[in-house]
Amino acid sequence: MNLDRKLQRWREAGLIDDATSARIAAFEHAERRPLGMYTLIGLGASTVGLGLVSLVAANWEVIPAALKLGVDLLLGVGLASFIQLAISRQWRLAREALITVFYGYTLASLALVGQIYQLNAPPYQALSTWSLATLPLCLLGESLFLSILYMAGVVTTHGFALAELIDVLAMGRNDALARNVIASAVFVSPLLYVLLSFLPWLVARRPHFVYSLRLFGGSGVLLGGFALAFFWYESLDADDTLTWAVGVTLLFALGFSWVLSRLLHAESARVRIAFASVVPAAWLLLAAASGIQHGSADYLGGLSQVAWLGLCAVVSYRVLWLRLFHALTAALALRILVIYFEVFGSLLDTGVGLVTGGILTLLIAWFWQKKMRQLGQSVRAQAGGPRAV
Amino acid sequence: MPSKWIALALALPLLVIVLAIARAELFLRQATEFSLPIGGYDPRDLLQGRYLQFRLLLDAQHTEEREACDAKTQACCWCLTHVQDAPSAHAQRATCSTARELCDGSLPLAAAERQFRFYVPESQATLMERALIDARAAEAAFAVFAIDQEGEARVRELRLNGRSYASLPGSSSSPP
Repeated sequence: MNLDRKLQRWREAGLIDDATSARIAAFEHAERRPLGMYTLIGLGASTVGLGLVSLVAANWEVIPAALKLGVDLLLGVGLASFIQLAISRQWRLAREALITVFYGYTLASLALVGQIYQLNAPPYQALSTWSLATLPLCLLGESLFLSILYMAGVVTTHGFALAELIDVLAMGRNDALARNVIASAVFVSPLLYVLLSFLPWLVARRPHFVYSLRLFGGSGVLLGGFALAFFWYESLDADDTLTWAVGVTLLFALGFSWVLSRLLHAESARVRIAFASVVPAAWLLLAAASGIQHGSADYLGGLSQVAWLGLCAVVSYRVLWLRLFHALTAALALRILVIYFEVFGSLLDTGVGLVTGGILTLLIAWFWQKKMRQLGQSVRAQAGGPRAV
Repeated sequence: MPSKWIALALALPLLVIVLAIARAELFLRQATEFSLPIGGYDPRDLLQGRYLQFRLLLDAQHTEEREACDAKTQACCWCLTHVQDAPSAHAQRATCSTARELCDGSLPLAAAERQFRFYVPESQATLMERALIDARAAEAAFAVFAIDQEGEARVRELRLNGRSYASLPGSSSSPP
């Protein structure tokens, strides 16, 4: 619903008078940034960046290598000069577009150097250099699109670095060491993003970066906890289980929850406890699924995913994240239905399973509707809407 | 935001690119070149384009030993020696300390198991792949490596059936 229609509704409901409505409208219209235009410009600029990478990848043989490097550096100096101009003249849209192009140009240039000098370094090295070298550049930008684009680059770099670590450890002869190091590294990865999002400078100056860090970190925790259940779909021998990583990840989980509770000191105890419970719960799933030997147990995998989605739904309900709560409840109902297809084999069993599963889904829908009403009342009582904690 | 911070943010990516070029040039100036036999195939990299991928045709089991070396307890290397008028350098097994002291160049033994890449122009990729296959069949596929004191090797050019292919500034390559 657009702002004017909302204001009209509130005026009709007697929540605000005409003068307040006019002041809100004036404030919002003055502050409003054309989100669609920002997104379009961001898409166009990132396409130019991607085009530069592709042009480099084509490795045009008609241009001598020295000329390629010279033109590339001139292009970089030109882009930097235009960004400087856009910043000094306060051309917001041009600044965001040019920074996005410069971000893509930097990756393309590093690829060009690697191509010309036949550098056989693993991809994570070039990607890490790119992400670190462009961090101050991207912090000059203020748009949500750029912050998400940069964070997507960081997550890709992180993924390549983890893959390289897995490759290096897999080449060694100590499988147990490799397994434990990899499990600890993967477990701690999304937590780093969440913790970085509390850096005071970012919170004060770059709220979009804070949002992006929490989006990627939170999604990593959510998807990671869900994926842990897949350990139940394979049998684990004594030689395949995690050993010291169970203890190390427990320390990470408890330490993270303690730090998070301290960082959220301004929030109510209800919110702090909800957030602090998530990572230790993920650790419990990890310890149960990969810390002890077991046979293939699909139903336990399904049940642990249901438990995980249920916990995340409860947490999002407690912190009043309405959209996430709705999405997780829908995913929970869907996952319960899928369990019935996984567990039962014959038509009779499947039929019984579907009937009970359907009834369970209807019960979830009833519970969902009931909680939605309570949630709506809570949000109205707090008069702030869902908070970006 | 202070203008110094803005200047740093804009200069840093350019500085990193210049440093990457300088580092690659410095490596080539300090390294020694060796031609070694190769065999390989042709895949594609989304970031840097088409490349020929190959391994060194050095067989640790069947190559003569300059010096006995047990890979389980010692650091073993290829001892590389330039041979006048031969298409490739002579490679023998030895301990790395001996190879560094007494040979023209040294490579870690594991380099023979590593995959090397040589980036090629997109339009030339198929022809060069064919040239590599033909050269390999004729036992005339070689790569010139720049190898530094630490044994780090980078491909400098390919020599397939007597033709050279290079991508570096200042070097010329003959088309297939």
